[in-house]
Amino acid sequence: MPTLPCPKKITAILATAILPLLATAHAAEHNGRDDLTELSLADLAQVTVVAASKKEQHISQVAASAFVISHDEIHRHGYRTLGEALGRISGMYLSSDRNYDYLGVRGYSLPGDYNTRILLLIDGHRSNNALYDQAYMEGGFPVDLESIDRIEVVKGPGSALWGNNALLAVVNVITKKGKDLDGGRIMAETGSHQHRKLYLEYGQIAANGLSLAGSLSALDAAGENHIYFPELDQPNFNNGVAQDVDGEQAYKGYLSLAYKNFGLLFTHAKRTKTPPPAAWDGAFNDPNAYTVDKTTALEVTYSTNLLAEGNGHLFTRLYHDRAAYYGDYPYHENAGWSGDTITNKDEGSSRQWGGEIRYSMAPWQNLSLTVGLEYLDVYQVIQKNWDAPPYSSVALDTSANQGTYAISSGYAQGEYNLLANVTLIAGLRHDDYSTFGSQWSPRAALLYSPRLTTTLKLLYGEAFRAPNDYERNYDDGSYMVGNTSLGPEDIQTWELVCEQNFGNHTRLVASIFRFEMHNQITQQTIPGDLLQFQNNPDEVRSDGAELQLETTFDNDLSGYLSLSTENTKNRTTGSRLDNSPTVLAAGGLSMPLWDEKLHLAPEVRFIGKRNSTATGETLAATTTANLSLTADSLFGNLDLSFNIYNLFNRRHTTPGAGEHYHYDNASDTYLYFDIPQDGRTFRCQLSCRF
Amino acid sequence: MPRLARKLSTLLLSAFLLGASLTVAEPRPARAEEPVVDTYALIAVYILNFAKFTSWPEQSFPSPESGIILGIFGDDVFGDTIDTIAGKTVHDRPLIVHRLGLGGNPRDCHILYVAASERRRLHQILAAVAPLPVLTVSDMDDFAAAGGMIQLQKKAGRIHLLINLTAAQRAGITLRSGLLKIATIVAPRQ
Repeated sequence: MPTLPCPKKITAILATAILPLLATAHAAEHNGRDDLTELSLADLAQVTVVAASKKEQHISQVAASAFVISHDEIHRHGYRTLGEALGRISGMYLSSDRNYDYLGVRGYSLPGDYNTRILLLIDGHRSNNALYDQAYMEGGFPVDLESIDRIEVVKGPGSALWGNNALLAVVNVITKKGKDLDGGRIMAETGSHQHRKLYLEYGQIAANGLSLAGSLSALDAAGENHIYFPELDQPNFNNGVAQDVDGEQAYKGYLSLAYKNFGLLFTHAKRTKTPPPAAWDGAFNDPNAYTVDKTTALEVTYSTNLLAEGNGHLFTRLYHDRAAYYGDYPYHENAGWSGDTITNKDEGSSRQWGGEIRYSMAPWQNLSLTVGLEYLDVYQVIQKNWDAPPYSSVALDTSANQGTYAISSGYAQGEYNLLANVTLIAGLRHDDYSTFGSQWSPRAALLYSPRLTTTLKLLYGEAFRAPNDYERNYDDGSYMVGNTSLGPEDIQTWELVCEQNFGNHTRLVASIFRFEMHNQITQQTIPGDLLQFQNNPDEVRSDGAELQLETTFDNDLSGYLSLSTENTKNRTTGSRLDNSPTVLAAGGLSMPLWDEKLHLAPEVRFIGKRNSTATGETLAATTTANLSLTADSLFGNLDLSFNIYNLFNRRHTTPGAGEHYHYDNASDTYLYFDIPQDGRTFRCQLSCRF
Repeated sequence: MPRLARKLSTLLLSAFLLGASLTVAEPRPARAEEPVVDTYALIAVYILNFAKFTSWPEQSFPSPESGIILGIFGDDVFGDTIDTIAGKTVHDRPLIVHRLGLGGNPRDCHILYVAASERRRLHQILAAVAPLPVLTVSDMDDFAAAGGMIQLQKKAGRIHLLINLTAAQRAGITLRSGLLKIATIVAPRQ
C-alpha cells in the first residue's frame, strides 16, 4: 500500500491552528469598524486607506467573451471542483476518467489530454505545470473551492497576453483576501462513499494594514465502491466491476498576504487518487494502484504607481513553483489476467522560477498601453519509469537528459478609444523558447457600444502551445515512445460577441466563433502496435454559437442558462473529434425560500452525444440534475448545506482514451472501454464562523 | 528534496499562524486619529458627506419626502460597505442606494457613482446625465478633467478630492464651501 499522509496529523495541525485564532477572535471584531459616518470631512482626509482589490475593467469591456463565477454561485449550487463550476459557462463541459477531470471547451476535449490547451491561473499566477502542461480541474486543483472568491473565465485565445497554453480559454481563480473573510470559519463535510472533509479558513485586515487570508483542508473519500465497465464484463476482470478502487485523499493550503505594495501567495496541495480504470493494461481491480500529484507555488508581487497622477502602474512578480507526480501501476507479468503482479512506478517532476514586469500607462486620454517582460526558467525536469523490486528494470530515466528550458517573453497591448463608444485593442506577444525558437501571438479587437447597455465585440486572436517534455521525451519503449521532433501547435480564432444588459439584473452574452487549430499535438498509436506517441498531424476546425444568460435580482433570486452548439472536426480525417458534443445546455436557479437565509438551487446539465474512437461507440446524450439546499447564518454564525448530485441517478459515460484498454487472453483481443461516471451522490456541510 | 518541501510547508504554516496571531493580537491603533480602513468603506462615507454638502434643485425630488438616490454604475465595488450609509438621513431625506450594474438608468439618480470599471464608456455615461442635476462621483483616474464632478484620488494612503466646479454648475448643482475648501478645483479639459 502506498503510504498516505495520516489524517490525524492534519487534524492536529488544524487544531493547533484554530486555538490561537479562537483566543484572539474577540479582539478582531473591533478593528477598523468604528463608525466613520460620524467623522467630519476634515477628519476623513486624515484616514489612511488600504488597497482594495478593485477590478480594473468590467467584464463587458474585456476584449473577449468573459464571465465571472462568484463564491455565492459556487456555494449555492454546491460545486465540488473547479471543473464542476466551469461547466455552467456556455460551451464548457466536464469529463472524467476517474483519475483526473477534463474541461472541454467549444467541442474540444481530446481523451488523453491533460487540459493542456486551457491556461489556468491562480491570482494571475500560472498553474499549468511545466512537465505535462496539466491544469487540474478536480481535487488536484491547489486551492480549496471554499477559498475561492470568484473565477474569471475568458473564452478564446489568450496567448497575446499570457503565452503558452492559452488556446481555448484562460481561467483565473481569484482567492479570498483578508477583506473577503474578516474572521474565521471551520467546516466539516460528509457525503456518499465515505466522503469526509475538514476545512479551516481565516482572514482579516489588521490595524497596521496587513491583509491576511489562508485556509487548510483535508479530504478523504473511498469513492464509488462498485463501478461497472460493460466492455470488461469477463470473468477475468471481475465481470467488469471495479470494487473499492476509487479512493481519494487531498490536502491543501493557501496563504495570501498583502502589505502596502507587496503581496504574497503560497499554495501547496497533495492529492492521491486510486484510478479504477487501471489504464495501460494494468492489473484491474487492484487496490494498490494510485497516483499522487503535488504542487507548491510561492509568489511575491510588488506594484506601485510611478507617476503621481495615478497614471503609470508598475506590477512585478517573482515566483518559484514545484510540481511532482508519482504513481504505482500494478500490472500482470504476462499480458492479460495471469502471472505475478509487478508494480510499475511512474514519476515526473519539474521545478521552475520566473518573473514578470508589467507597466501600464495612459499617455493620452484616449490611449492606454500595457507592456511587459517575462522570464521563466524550468531548471529541473525529471521523468522516470521503472518496475519495483524484485524486477527493478528501469524503462525510463530522464534525470541526465536535459529536459530543462527557459522562455524569454515580451508583450505589448494598446487600447485606443476611436470614438466615445468605439475602442480598438491590439496586442502582440513574443515568446522565445531555448528549445525550439520563437512564437508570435497577435490579437486584435474592436469594441462598439451603440448604447450603454449593449456592447458588440469583433475579435481575432492567435495562440500556441509548445510541446512539453512528457510529449517529447517520455519513452518507456513498451507503452509510449518519445518524439523529439514534435513542434508547437497553434490556433486562430475569430469571434463576434454581443452583450446586452437588461436593468441591473440580467446579462445576455451571445457569440459566434470559428477556430482553426494547426499542427495539433495528438496521441497516436503506431499501426499494428500498441505503442503510443505524440505527433503533429492534424488540422482542426470548429464553428459554433454560444448563448449565456445570467440574472440576479435584488430579492436574491438568481439563475443562469447556457446553450451552445459546436461543430468541431478534424479536417485531416473529416470526422468529428472524440468527446465532442454537438449540443450543450445547462441551467440553474437559486431561489430564496425564507428570509434570504434558506435557498433552494436546482440545476440541470445536458451534454449531447459524443464519439469514442477507442471503443467505436457513440455515447448517448446525458442529462444530469443536481439539487442544493443551503441555510446561511443560522444562529448568527452557522451555515448548513445539503446537496444531491445526479439526482435521478442517470448512468452516463465519458469516452476513454488510447490508454484505456485491457488485454483479454481468453479471446486474445484488446478490450477498449469508456469511463462510467458517478451515480447519485450526496454531500452535507456544516460550517461555523468565528 | 521532499524534506525541504516539508520544512517549507511547516515554515509557511508557522508564518501563517504567527501572522494570524499578530494581526488579531495587535492592540487598537496607537495613533487613534489615523485609523486604517478599506478604500471603499471610506469612499462610502465621503459620498454621505457629499450629499450633506450638495444642494439639488427642488424639482429634482418628486415629493418633499422622497429620498436622495445614489446610483452605483458598473462593478459593485462597495459590496456590503455601502450599507453603512444606506438609509442615513440627509437634508431630512433618506439616502437610497441603487446598484445599477450596467443596465440601470443613470438618469434617475441624484448622485451617480461611476465604478472605475466603466472608464471606456465614461463619455457615454456623462453624456447621458449631462443636462440633469446628477452629482457624478468616481475614483477613476482623470475623472474630473474628463467632465465628472468629484474625483476621489488616492495619494500616499489618503483620499484627496478633485472637483470640477464648472461641471457641477452647468448641471444646476450647488456644492457648499465646506466641501470646496478641502478639495482641489480642477478645470475641465476643453
